[in-house]
Amino acid sequence: MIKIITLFFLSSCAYLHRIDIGEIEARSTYVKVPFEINASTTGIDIQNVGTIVKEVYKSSASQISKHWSDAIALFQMGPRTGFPVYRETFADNILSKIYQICPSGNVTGLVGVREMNNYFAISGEIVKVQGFCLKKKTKRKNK
Amino acid sequence: MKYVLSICLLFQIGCSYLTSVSQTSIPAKKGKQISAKASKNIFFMLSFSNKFADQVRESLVEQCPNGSVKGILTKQEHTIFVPILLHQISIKATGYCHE
Repeated sequence: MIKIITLFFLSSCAYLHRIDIGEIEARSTYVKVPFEINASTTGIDIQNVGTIVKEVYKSSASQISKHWSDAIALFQMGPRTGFPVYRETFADNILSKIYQICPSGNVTGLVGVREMNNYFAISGEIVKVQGFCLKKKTKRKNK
Repeated sequence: MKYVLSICLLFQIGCSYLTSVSQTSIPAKKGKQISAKASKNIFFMLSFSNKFADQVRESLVEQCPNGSVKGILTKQEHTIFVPILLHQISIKATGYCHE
């Protein structure tokens, strides 16, 4: 049990997997309204779940759980960022959210961040988009 | 001898990784080249925030206050200075200020 607690505290919390910076419009003819959109889901690392089960149940069940976790891991091979998730469409509605915030679609300085908050066996898989909605400056009418 | 070999191996470990690269479209008329960098040192593999990455865009905007930044090349690197003890994540962005 001490081993699990130690591993939990030694597991690094915030991972930065990828960052992309888009073109930036900085002309003073526009007013820049900042926005941020977050999409997240829960990821599970079956290997670490197997380690926990092995430590908790020090019996034949631990060996079975290890075999199962190894077998499942074979189906989760390949390039990826973060832990496997059960809902891979969690970031699909980011574009519609941008249009909700900025109906003109006139956005600039988009920064896409793919990051993960790791809690040993489970994780928060996060996609964050930051940017500016450009709005034309309105001239004040003099009375 | 075993210890000497172990220490030699420790320092022979490849220490720099290119995690991601992205490039936006390069304009025909290139302006002044600008660049920005943000980095974070990670001790004992403990990191609790990625806020440092926000500085890169702000720095590019500051260098080109009345124009547009195009052709941005963003690189993310991971450097291991001392295994487990000290890592560094750095983000470098280079672009063209078109005024």
